Amino acid sequence: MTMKKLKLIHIVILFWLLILIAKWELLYNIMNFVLYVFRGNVKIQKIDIALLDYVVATLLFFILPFVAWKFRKKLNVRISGASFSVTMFFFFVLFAPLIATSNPAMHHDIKKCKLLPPFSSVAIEERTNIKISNASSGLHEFYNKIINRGIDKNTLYLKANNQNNSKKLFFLFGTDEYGRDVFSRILYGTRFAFFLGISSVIISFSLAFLLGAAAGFGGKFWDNLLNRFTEIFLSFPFLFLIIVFLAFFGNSFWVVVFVLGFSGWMGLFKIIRAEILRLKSKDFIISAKMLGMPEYKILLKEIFPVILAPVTVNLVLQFGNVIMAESALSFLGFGVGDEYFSWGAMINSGQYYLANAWWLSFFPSLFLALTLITMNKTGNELEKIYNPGSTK
Amino acid sequence: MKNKLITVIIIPLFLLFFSCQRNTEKINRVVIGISSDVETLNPLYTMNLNEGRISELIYLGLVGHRWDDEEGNIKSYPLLAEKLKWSDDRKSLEIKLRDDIKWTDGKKLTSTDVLFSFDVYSDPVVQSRFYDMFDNFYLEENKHIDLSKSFEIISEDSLVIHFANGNAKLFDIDMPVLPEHKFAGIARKDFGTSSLNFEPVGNGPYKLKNWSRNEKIVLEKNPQSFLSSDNMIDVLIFKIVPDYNSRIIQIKKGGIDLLDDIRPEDLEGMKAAENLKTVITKGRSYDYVGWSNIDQKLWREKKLIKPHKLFGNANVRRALTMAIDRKLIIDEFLNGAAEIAFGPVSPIFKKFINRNISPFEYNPGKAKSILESEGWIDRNGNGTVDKNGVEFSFTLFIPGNNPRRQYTANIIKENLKEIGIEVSVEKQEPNVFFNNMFGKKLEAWIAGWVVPIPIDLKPYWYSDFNTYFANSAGYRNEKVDRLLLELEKGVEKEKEAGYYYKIQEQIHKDQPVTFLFWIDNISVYSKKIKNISIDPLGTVQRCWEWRLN
Amino acid sequence: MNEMKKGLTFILIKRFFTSILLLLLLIIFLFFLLRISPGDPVQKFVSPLLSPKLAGKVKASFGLDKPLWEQFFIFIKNLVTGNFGISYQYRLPVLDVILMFLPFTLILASVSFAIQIGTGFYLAFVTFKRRGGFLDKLLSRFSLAVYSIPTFVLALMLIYIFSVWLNILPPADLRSIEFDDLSFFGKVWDYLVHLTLPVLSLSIPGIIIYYKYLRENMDVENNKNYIKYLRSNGYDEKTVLWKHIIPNALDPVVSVAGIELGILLGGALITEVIFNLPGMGRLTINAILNRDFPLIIGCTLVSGILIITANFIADLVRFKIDKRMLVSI
Repeated sequence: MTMKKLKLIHIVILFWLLILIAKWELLYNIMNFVLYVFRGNVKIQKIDIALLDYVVATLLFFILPFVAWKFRKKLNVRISGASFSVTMFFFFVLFAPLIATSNPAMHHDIKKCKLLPPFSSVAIEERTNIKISNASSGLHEFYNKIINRGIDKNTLYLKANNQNNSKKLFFLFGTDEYGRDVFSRILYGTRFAFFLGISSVIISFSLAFLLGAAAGFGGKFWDNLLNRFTEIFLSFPFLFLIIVFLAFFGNSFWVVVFVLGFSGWMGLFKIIRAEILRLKSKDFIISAKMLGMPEYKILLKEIFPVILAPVTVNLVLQFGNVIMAESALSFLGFGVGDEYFSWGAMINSGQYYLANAWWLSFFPSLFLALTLITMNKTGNELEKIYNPGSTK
Repeated sequence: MKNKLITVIIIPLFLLFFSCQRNTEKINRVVIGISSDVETLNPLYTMNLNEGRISELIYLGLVGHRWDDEEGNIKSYPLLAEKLKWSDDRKSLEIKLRDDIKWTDGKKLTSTDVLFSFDVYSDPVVQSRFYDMFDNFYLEENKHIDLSKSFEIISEDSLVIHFANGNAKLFDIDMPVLPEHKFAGIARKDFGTSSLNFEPVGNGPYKLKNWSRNEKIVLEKNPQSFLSSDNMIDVLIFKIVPDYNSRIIQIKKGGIDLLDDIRPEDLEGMKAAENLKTVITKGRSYDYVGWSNIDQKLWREKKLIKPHKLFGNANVRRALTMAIDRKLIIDEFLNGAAEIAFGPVSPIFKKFINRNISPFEYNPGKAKSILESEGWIDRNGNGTVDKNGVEFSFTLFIPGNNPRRQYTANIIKENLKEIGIEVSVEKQEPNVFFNNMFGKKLEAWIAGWVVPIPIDLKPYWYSDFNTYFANSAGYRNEKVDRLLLELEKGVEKEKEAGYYYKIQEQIHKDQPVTFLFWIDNISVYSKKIKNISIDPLGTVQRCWEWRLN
Repeated sequence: MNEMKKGLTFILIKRFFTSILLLLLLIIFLFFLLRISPGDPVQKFVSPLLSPKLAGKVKASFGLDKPLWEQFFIFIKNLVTGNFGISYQYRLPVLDVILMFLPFTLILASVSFAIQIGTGFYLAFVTFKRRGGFLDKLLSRFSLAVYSIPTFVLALMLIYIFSVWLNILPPADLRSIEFDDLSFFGKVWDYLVHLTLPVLSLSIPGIIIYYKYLRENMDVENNKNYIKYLRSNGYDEKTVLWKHIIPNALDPVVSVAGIELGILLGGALITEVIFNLPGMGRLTINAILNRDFPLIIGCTLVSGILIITANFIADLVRFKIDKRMLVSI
């Protein structure tokens, strides 16, 4: 019963407070650093992406309450499973560096930290005797305090699951074969999934919009041709063509994004085409045409904003599809590889250790499945909002 | 509804009960697990390891080989031949065939079959795997053996081979003999697609019983063979199981009796299993990090040779080797089942490996100071060392889905980061990878070589890399060239080792590539198999000697 | 009526042939894609253990040394005469190779398809009849979650539960090694035991697709006014359900079924890989990885034709249902 009273805004506040309590020291350090830079104490010669990531995440973190206040009415809705997961997903994407307990690429001392089970901790001793030579002295101090470095000569790893020592590294989901923190990798995997999904959905959408416009405005011939083409593409098992491309032309991030983007436009095209055909006969379009507005302007100014709403559902579903497709490809070994934090790749490489370390493939599978369930559920709920009386 | 449910549950249980009553009478057979199906059983075209292993049980050659562990080399012995006699100048070899050998279709094996075999192996139209490998024979212009000059048939079961020079060894006649009468009706260009690839007519201790694609290859004992005996294994099944984990489960459960290429992390589990016996043999395959010694673009485009901007300097390459923690990879990934490599000669060649050389120790501090003395210093404070405006950063390529290479690459990336070198790792699909590697398009990569038996270093290290494309690093050293040429011409047996010693010294000094490790071969077999000999020549090589408990 | 039927038949046939034409265009695109892509079909002949000249000779015998347009000309000529060439890898005519793998895929696809349709429809009917019942609530709550789980995760879960944990079903393979020694009954049982998990992991998402589609359409139909009218006029529930609700709800499901069947016929790659089954999916992937050009083209063509046929059949079925609708009203 109490669950019923829980509103989305409560969840946002809860997550926010959790991070604040757990990481106040880090946040304090980063804010200090920002002030230090603003006062002009240090000249920034080169932008350090890793550091920037922390700073942006922190600034966003402190802006969040204001944003939440502004949208308090919209957030004052009852919590559902989907909205809860979506909130968590966005927290992970935005604040990954604040939540992470380790640098996801960091090989913790392999001899001590390899393949530790979930909830393990390793006692460490911080040494200060080895200097990192290449950072300038002012920044250096902050850098050390803020960043989860990918390489760390100052930490001495003592023993796994040692109870006595005060300073400890904690591995919530255990570690992998390189002594990397599985939790942090999964966390950054959310980011990876998000960017991959967004980029290829944008490609799919642009393609579908262009073709939809061509079919809608190009006359009967183009309409027929594109329709035929779409039906063929809809029924073609794309996995194989994707694999041909990835196997032959390398599997870098952008190739994967483009290939997945190019193979997901068909459903969107059908909807956009139908919408354009429907809108074409509407008064406001006809009058715009009469006024001599060029077609591309009508398309962008009049049609585009109207189309966005009904298409959103499909965009969300497509987003889920892309994540699923990428993980399946990575599982088969055709994905982006170990350089990125792909859940599918983690599951794939975890299979190698299935007998000794179940957590390597279990947790990424769990997160993947949860994300996909969330996306599909969100799609369903959006559908109810946008097309309440729809046939589905 | 309930009744239906009961039938649905009861019937399968009933079936299950009966299926457990299955006839479990022991058949005299051994199941060998392999990871992929073979493409052909025709010895003309058997390219990969498994094809070779299986087809050599069906087709025997004139001589067989045994591994002599003390010498660290092979010893040949007559197999189809009964007697072999060299002439005094070692330019001709008299061969007397056994007279009790029949093809599985009942025909007798004769000296014309032997002649025919050499004829087709060297025929450019046939495109056999031995084409252009008969340098010690009299050859025609297209590398086909000049039959009339090389062979002299004396009778149905004896012949003489005349060689063009005195360097010929028994290894030169080590080819499975083919049945002439079976190939007679087929045009030579169609050999590759003839049904003989799948329905072999052989002369060996085993013959093909059936072959279910992607599932299993079943061999049964050939009672006519002179090698066969009453208590040898009746049936050998090569079971194709692509997934490694399934293979491991099956050997533990008894579905497979013999398995090669066990990963080191399963070693403990295998040793613990009561019904299994584990054998570790020193490896003859090694992984290495290839550094392009020459500017590859210049070479590809203009065939000019100039040192590579990063890896052209031997001191830098030595520093790179010192910065890589090979011991860590061996301990943590390979569970100690490997040996650090310092050169291209495998530890199995006990007489040839130069144990005076000790591999470079892992020492990032020293590596860093070498780099500094070569002018590689972080001048712009970005964490990466540079020289003349060139940053020391590169892409390390690895082939496809190979967990070991992936692991090695990740460790190397971490190791080199420590000394201020930035590495990004990129996976390439194997076919593309090897095409690029042989085409000298990669500047740094991880790959491996299997050292052939008998040992041959020339294809990998000779400086003429137009012909010897396997020298992908572009290594050039006059001394090594000279030694390799002399070895090829043939040197006295006592002096041979000295040549290999010197080559290893030079290569160790130049570090054209960073040698990583020799990987142990771990094989596991069921204790019910007796009299099995496992050595560098493989596991099934002499399986006609196996017995079952 | 007859006129209309003729018109529809004409449209269907026209659609079928345009599909074939597009498939041919796809094949031609693939032909050029393969030729310009990196990698080498004779890679395995390039080795320090072989003569450096061998690879060139083999390449020439595959006809890959000729200029591209000439290769294309030969390809088209062969295609017209129905000659797909010889697989580089298997050293057999392409069609022979495909015929070794196609039967399994056909069987797996049809079994799985039957189970998907059967179970999906059964669940939809049962939950429709007992709306608000336990099963209905359970399915409406969890069907989406189950559907969202990727096939490979689902398959790994099933293997972990049934093979590793409970140890009652084999984790992989089509049949056991003793297969040949078994009685007929034993052989059937052997197949059954081995194919349970693959068929299950292949069918579960499909079951939910059909269940959801059909159930939702039935609900929509059920809320329409004419159904209420029929009910209030005393038509019995059975007639309403079978004569009116189901035929109307079925139409969109059939076109989905056509697409799903097509995808199944193209080869269930992930299932085949995980369970080590000899189907078209793995054949195609191996052909791609080995750069077996004729086989890649052959596989694409055969799966393409199967897919088009499946869609054509779906169109015919829809047509049939439509006609009955016309008659019944």
